[in-house]
Parts: sequence; structure tokens; C-alpha cells
Amino acid sequence: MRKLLRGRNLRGVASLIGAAAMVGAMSGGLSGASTRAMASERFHGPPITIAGTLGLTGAFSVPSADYKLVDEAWVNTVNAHGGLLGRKVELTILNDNSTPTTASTDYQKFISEKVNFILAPYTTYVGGPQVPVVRAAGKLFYNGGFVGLQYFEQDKGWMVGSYTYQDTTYSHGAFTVMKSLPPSKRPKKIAILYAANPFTVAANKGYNGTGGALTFAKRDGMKVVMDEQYPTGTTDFTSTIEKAQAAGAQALIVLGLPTTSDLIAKTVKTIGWKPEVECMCGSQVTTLDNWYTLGAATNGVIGTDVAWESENYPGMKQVEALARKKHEKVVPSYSWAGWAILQMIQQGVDGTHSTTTTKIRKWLLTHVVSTAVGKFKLLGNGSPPNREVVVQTVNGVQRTVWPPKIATAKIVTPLP
Amino acid sequence: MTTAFQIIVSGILLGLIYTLIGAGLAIVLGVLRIVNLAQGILIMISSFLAWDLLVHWGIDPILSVLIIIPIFFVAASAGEVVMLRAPARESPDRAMLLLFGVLMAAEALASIGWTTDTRSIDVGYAYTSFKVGGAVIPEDYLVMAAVAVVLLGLTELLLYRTLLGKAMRAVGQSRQSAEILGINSAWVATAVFGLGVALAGAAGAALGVLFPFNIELQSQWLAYSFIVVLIGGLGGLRGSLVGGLALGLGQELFSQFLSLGVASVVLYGILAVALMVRGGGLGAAKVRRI
Repeated sequence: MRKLLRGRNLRGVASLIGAAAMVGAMSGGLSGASTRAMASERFHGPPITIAGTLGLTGAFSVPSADYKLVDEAWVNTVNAHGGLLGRKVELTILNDNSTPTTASTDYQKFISEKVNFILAPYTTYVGGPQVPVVRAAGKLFYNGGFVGLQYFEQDKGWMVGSYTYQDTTYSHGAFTVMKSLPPSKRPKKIAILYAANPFTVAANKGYNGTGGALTFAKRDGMKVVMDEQYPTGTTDFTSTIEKAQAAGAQALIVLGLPTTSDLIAKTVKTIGWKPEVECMCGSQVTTLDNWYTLGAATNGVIGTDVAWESENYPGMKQVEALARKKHEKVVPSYSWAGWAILQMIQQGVDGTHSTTTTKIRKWLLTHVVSTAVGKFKLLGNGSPPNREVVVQTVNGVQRTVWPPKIATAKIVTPLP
Repeated sequence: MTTAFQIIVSGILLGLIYTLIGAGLAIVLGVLRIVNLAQGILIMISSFLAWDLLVHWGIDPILSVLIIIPIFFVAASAGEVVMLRAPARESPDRAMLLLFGVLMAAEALASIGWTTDTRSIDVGYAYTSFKVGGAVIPEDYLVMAAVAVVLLGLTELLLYRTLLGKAMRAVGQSRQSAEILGINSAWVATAVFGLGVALAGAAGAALGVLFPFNIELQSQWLAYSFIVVLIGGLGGLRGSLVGGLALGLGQELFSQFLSLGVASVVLYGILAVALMVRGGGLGAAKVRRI
């Protein structure tokens, strides 16, 4: 069972220190700031360069800070063990201010500077527009930052990813769990609420007839009694949740971003609805720190994750240690994915004894990689095969309920 | 029947809280002719403070309101004297531009200090409800609506039953005439700005209990403030009450009978229509001053 990280009361102090550090960084010129990894003294040949952008300021600054921490820790670890091919690894992270246009300028810069490995930024919103930029330069895009089946399909194996499920399969785990329930508890009517956002729209409707909650519901013989899109700024869901309840929905699938997902969970609890299954199936909402501050509203709610600590995949211990250092209650999905994509670079380099893009691309598409999110061979489009972990929050503790081999508890239905 | 009752109950409770959002903007605009573009971010900062007070000191948001109001009043009054007074003397538009700068700076600083993470305030009454006549009444809506009623009532008393309130209304009607009558309009302006921001602070603490929040929500609250003022005009708190209740009831009504996406379009459509009907936008609302 995943251990909760402690130190909630230190968060305030930590955030103040973090804020002070950021102010210091900004005064030093954050827009041009780069992070040089610590290197040991005995390297041979020119350094191997890895670069990417992150939204160190702006809307995505929190997850981006986690990515940066993971990236730097990985580089330090690798360099402490002699680097890659005996060469020092140098990491450059530029601040894209959480905007795709700034990121595009930075990626052009990486390409002109002939960086060896290009990392994707966080979120589809910032990362999606960079896919053609990197592809046009004939570089492989190492994507531990965002999901999007359409981008993998369009890039035809020139983008390799470490998120083990894409937007179209975000609710797949929830439907699998529902299907595994005894017939008397298996929901026959479901309500779907999804945010007006390209990622969550794909999570509901799928892409090119593939995936999506609506498809899974139809496949599993469930009647969709509510299929409603909501604006991301919606502030009151009371009427909507009451309508879902009145329509006889036995399961609620929410495909949203954190703020509204939290509000929906709160509303369900407030009006006292207890569906058989309630899934916050968007954005790995239940892995974020704020989830626990919702208290009773989280009880019985399921969510998904790319991996679970008990699976003990390589690198998990290091990522978990980083999360502990930041007093995060659980390891966010993006930290696993961020570490895993760097492991794929390492294994590609070691496997080919080279930094040549075409060789590494071919190697990665034909070999099994062993990462913090699992051991797998990439699909032809560069994405990992579908794989997710379903967790349920019960009395403030997350328990794995699927897949069976790592499940620590049976799913509790209906909501307690 | 139950549905109608539910819409009315939820709409009124939400409307009272929305009134609090708009009242601060209406008072500052009505008396000083300044559109406080920083209203939304001030509301957000108050939500974050309420969260901090609860998480680090265990202070319930109801009590936080009592702490936040004087803090916001003093900080805003000081800000008015130091930053706003000179540009406001030149023209309200210059003051509005300065407040836009305050908005941008405050948003950036708040992002650094509190990060862009979502937060929620977990208090006992946040997840419970009871039924009256078949309508579900969330306790947090009820508690915060009651807080809003008390604060709006006290503000009404201040404006209509005190000398300071009379002075505020006099300055709102004619600054020059008020000065001729011996009213120190500069200090009244300071008090008005402090009062408007203090109400925004109270609204932030209340909203933080009702809705999970992050910095990005500030634009939503700013838009809601505008809707309240545009519908209710600047006819004192009673006008804001009309605007707030119209917003709350409209939101509930549209959410019940339309999809959430369409309901949102209708809601912002009201804002657009109100702007068109009023011609000069928020400025035209000045016709009905406090």
C-alpha cells in the first residue's frame, strides 16, 4: 500500500522558502536560466545534451517544478555513475512560462544548437504545438510530459512516450473495474461529465473511433443517461449532479481538470448521492495533493495512475524519495512519467552505443524498455501499450483495486 | 414543483454570496468612479488567506472573515493613499489602469506565494446538506449566505446610518460639493476604497469554502462582479442585491434546463447584453449612484 507522505504542516514554510527561491531565480534572469547538472570529473568526449522547456512560471508551474526536480535528479544520478557512454550529461531546462509560443521559440533554439535529446514540456496545451517543430527537424521527441493519441498517430513513431495511457483511454481502467463487479453491483446506467478541453473531449469521445468513455460504455452494455460537457470555469454543479441522480445513473465518470473535478466530488458528497462508482478519471486528479484536503468528499472515489510503488519498477524508489522531500502525499503521475522517459533515453543510448536519432528510434521501437512506469515495448506509433492502475480513496487512504496482481483491496461499492 | 423550489433556494443562497462579490466593486465605482480591475485577484487572495488560516492555524473561515476584513481594509486604504490617490485625482481611467497593473503584479506574486495548485477548504459544514420541501440545501451555502447577509446589513447600516456613510454618499454625488460642505473627500475616498476591498476579502473567504479554487478563478469572479454591477447598477447595496440574486437564480435556472455549456453562454450573454443596453458599459451605471 502506498505510504502517505507526511509533513503537511511544513507545506506553508516550504512554500515560503520556495517562493523566496523563485524570486531569487527570477532576479537572476529566469527566462534565460538553464540548469546545469552536477558532473563528475572523469568524462570522455563532448557532453551529451538533453533539453526541454517547462512552465516554471504561469499556470503549470507546480507540475513543472516537479518535472524539473525529477530531471535534475536523474542527470545527477547518471553523471554520478559515469554519464552516458562515458560522457557527461548536460541538462538545459528553459522556462516557457506555460505558453506554447514561448516554448516554440525555445525548441527552435534547441534544434539550431543541435541538442542530442529533446524532452517534451508538460501538458498537451504546451507540448502539442511542439510536435511538428521537432519532427520537421528530424529529431525524436521524448515525451514524458503529455498525452494525446492523435499526436502519436500523426508523428508515426517520431515521438516516444512514457505515459502508459493516452487521452482516449483515461477511463478504460474504470470501465474494466466496473465490468469486474458482480452483476448486482455492476452499473447499467452511467453519467459522464467532461470538461470543455481538447484532452477531456478526446477522453470522452475517443479519436478516430478508438477509445473514449462513450465507446467503453457502449461496449460494456451501459446506458449513458447523461453525457454533458461543462466549461472549465463552471462554479456550481448542484443541478447537474441532481439531474444525473434523478436520471438513475449508477456510476459517475468525470473527465475533468483538477479544480472542477474537486468541485464535482464535493457536490456529490454534499447532496448525499452515493452512486455505485464515482471516478475522477481525468488528469490523475486523485494523485494531487489537494485531493486529500477535500476530506469526506474523496471517500470511495476511484481514480487512475500510470504506476504504483508496490510494483517496484526500476527508478521508483528515487522518484518516491523526491516526492517525500517535497512533502507530497503521493507521487504524482507526472513524476513517474518524467523519470521513465529519461530511462528510455538512457536505455536507447546504451542499447545502440550511440546518440544518433535514427538508431535510437529504431532501437526503442523494437526493444523492451524497463522504466519506472513498467516494462514494455513501444507500439508502432511510439506510445507505450495501454496500462493503468485504478486506485480508490477510502478514509483518506489510497488503495489499489486493479489490476488484480497489485490490488491491495477490493473496490468498495457503493460510495461509503 | 420541487425543482422550482430547488432553483429558488439554491439561487437565492448563491445570489447572496454573489452580491458580496459585486458590492465592493459597486461601492468603489459608485463613489470614486473607478473600475477596480483587481477585484477578482483580491477575492482569490482572500480565499488563499482563509485556506492558510484554516490549514496552519485551524481557524474556521467564518472567523477568518473577521480577520481578513480589517487586514484588507487597512492594506487597501494604505494602497489608496500611496498609489491610487494621485492618478485617481487626474482621472478614474488612470486609476483603472493602475489597478490593472496591480492585478497583473498580484497575480504573479500570488502564483509564486501560493502556487497555481488547486486548493479547497475542508470544514465540517462543507459536505453536508439537509432537505426542506424536497430541496437540498447545502450547509456551506447556507452558512456563507448568512455571513453575506450580516456583512451586507452592516454595510447598509454604515452607508445609511452613520456620518461616514453620509459623507461617502455625498462624495459619490458630487465631490466638489462635499468638499465645500467641509467633507475631507480624500480621506472619504480612502475609506470607500478600503470598504470595497474589505468586502471583496469577505467574499473570497466565503467563496473559498464553497468552491475549490486556484489563481485562474480570479477572472471568473471579476466577470461575476461585473454582471452583478451591470444588472443591479449602482443603486447602493440594494442594486447589488438585485444583481447578485439575478445572477444566482439565473445560474441555477439555466443549469437546470440547459446544458452547462449553453448555460454558461447564456450567463455571459447577459453580461454582453447588459453592456450593450447600458451603452457606455460600466461607466454608464454611474447614473445610479449610491
